[in-house]
Amino acid sequence: MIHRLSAAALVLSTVVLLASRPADACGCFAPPDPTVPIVQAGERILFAVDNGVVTAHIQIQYAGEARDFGWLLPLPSVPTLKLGTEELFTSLINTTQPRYFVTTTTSGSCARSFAFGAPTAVGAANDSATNEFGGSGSPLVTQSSIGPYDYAVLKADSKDAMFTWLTDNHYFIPVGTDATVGPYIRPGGYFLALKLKSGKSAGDIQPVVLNYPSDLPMIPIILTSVAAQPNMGIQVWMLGSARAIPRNYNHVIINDAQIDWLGRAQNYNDVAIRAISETPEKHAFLTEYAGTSNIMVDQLDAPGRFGNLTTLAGLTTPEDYVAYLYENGFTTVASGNGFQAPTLIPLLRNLVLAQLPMPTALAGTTNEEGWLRSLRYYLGNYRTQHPEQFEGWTPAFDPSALTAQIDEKIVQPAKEAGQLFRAYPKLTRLYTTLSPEDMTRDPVFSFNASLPDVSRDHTAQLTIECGLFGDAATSPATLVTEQGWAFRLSNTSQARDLTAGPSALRIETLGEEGAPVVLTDNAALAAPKSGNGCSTVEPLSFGLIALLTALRRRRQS
Amino acid sequence: MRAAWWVVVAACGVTPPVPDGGEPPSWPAGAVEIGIPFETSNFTTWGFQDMPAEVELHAGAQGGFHLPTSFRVNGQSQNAATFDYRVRRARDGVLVSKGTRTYDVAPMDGGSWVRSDIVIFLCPTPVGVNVVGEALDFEVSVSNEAGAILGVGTAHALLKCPASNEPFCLSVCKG
Repeated sequence: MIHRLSAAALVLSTVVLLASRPADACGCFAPPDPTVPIVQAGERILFAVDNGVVTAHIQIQYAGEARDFGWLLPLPSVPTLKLGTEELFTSLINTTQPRYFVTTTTSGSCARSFAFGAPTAVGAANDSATNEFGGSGSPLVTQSSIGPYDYAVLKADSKDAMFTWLTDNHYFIPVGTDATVGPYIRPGGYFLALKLKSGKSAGDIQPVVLNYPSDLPMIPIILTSVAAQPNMGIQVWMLGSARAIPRNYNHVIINDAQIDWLGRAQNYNDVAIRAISETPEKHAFLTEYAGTSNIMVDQLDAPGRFGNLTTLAGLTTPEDYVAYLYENGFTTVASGNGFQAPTLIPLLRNLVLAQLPMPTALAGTTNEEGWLRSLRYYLGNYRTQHPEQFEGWTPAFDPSALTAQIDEKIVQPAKEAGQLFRAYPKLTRLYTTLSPEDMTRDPVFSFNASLPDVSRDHTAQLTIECGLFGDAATSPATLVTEQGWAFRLSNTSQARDLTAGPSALRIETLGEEGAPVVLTDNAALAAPKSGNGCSTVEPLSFGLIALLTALRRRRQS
Repeated sequence: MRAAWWVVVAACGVTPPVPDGGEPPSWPAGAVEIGIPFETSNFTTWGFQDMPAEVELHAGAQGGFHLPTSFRVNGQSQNAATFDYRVRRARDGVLVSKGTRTYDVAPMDGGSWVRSDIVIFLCPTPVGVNVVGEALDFEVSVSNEAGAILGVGTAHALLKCPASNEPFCLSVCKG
C-alpha cells in the first residue's frame, strides 16, 4: 500500500509512517514498513522576518491515511503555534505567479485576426489545555492540540530520547529520518512534532503558523529528503523590508528562448528544472517576483469581508446561513487560467457540510459545492418535487457553534495573514526544485536592499508578416522574446526546439549587499538581441552558440 | 566556563566608521564594545586584548553555526537601542553576515548597560564564502530610539569549527 504524501509542507521534515498500525497489548506501535515509499510533492511556505523573529506560514499537503500523517520540524526555540489558512497560499499563487504574454502585430493584410497573449500563469487557538511537563529525562517541553492537530515540542538534546518519546506517543517517524536528523540534534534546540488528532482526516489538514526567534529563516531540506520525490518543487515567499535572496544557494535566471511563448508557457517548469540543473550542485533559486507587498493587501482581509459574525450566527435557517457565506466573501478562486466561479473556502465547505451534508441521493445531480451554492433551491422547490431524496436527512444545524468554528479556523487566520502584507513592504517569491539526492544543504534566506524588483509579467513580441492577403496562421512570423532572442518562424504553428542551448541565461550569487556576482553568463556570449524583431537567431544557431559557450564561474574562495 | 574580550574603539579616540549611507556621527561620551566568548577565558572580565583571537563557532538548533556575542555601551542611558551589525572577512571585506535588532535595555549605574544574548548568524555562509580559519571583522553601530548614533564598536576573531562537529560545520561554513 502506498500512501502519497504531497506535502507542500515546508520545512517539514515530513514524517509519514506508512503501514503503521495500532499496537498489540503492550501498547507499543509497530515500526514502519521500510519498503513503503513516501512521496512528498512539494513545499510552500511564507516567511516574514522582523527583529530576530521569524513567522512561518506553512502549507501542508497530504493525501494519505490520517493515521500515517506526521511532521517533524527542527527549531531554534520553542515556537508559538496557530492555525493558518489555505487561502493565503491560493492568493499568493494567483497574485505572484509568473505570467507570459505575447503581443502580436501584423504586417500586410492578414485574412483573419490572430491573438495570443492571454495571460498564462505558470509554475506551479488551542482547543485543549497545554501540558508543560515531561518528567525527569523526558524530552517533552510542551504538548497540546490546535485545530486538527496534536503537537509536541521536544528538546533536541538526544535523538534516542526524542525518538522514544515520539514512538511512545504515537508520533510517526519516517524511514530515513534516523540517518538525516543528526545535524539538528543538539542541546538548546527543539523539535516540533505534529500529528492529526484521533478522528480527523487528511481533509482536515490546514496550514500552521509558527513564530520563533531566529535571525534568518531556513528550510531543513536535508531532513525533508527522506520523504521527497524527484524535482520536488519548493516555493518560498519572503516578507521583509527588502528583496529576499537565497543566502547559500545560487540564483538563476532562466533563458526565455526556451519558453514556449506560443504555447501558453506550459513548459515553464521544465525550463526551470533544466536551468537549476545547470547550476553548481543543482542548488539555485529563481526569483519569480520581487516587489511591493501591496499586491496582496485586501486580498484576504478586505474591509467588510466576512460580514458580521454576530449576524451570521443569528441566521437560523440553513438557506440563509449558506447564502450569507457566499454573499460575504467566504469564497475563494482556485489558481489557474481563465474565469472560475468563486467557491466556498475548502475548509469552510467541510465545516458546513459537517452540519449540512448533501443527501446521498443527490450525488448524481450535483456536487457538494453545487449543493451548497443552490441550497435554497434544493431545500425549496427541488425538495418539494423530490421528497424521497431527502428521506432521513435531518441535519443538526447549529449556527452558533458553526460560526464559532468559522471564526477560529477561517476568519481569524485570514485576517492575521492579511495583516502581514501591511506590516512588511516587500514581497519576494522564490522557487526551486530539488531531488532527494541533491537535498544536501538547507537553504537559508536573507535580504538585499540594493537589488531591483522582479516583475512577474513577461512579454514577447510576435510579428506576423501576412503580405498581401496572407493568412495569419500560415504566414511567416518573427518572435522576439523579452530577453531579446529572435526566432524566425515559417508560421505561428511551427514547433521550435525548446531545449536547444542552456536553460539558464545567467547563474549568479546574491549577497546581502551589492549587485549580483555572475558565475555564468550565457547571454553575453550569444547576444542575438533585437529591438524590432529584424535580427534573428535560428534555434540551431542558438544551440551551437551554447555548445561553444564556456561556462565562466567565478567563485569566491 | 566562557569568556570574552572587548574592544573599545571610541574611547581610544578613533574616528568611528561611517554608517551605510550616512554622515559621520558625532561621537558621544562613552563607548560601544563587542564581546565574543573565548573557550578558556573569563567572560566577566571587561577589557582589551590583542586581536584576532581564535574563537569557536557554536552549533545552532537548525544545523547552522553561529557566534554568541555581547554588546556593552558605557555612559549612554537608554531604554532601548538598535544594534546594526556587520561581519566581514578581513582579507577581502566580503560581507558574511549582517543584521539589525532593537532591544530593550536596562541601564545600570552610570548609564551603562549590557546585552549578552546576541547571536550573530554566520553559517551557512553565503555561496562561495568560507569563514573557517579566516579572520573576521565585527562592527556594530548602536543607535537610540530617535535614530541618533550612540557609538560604533569593532572586534576581530579567527573562527574555527567545534571539534565535536567539525565535518558538518565545515560543510556549511565553507560556502
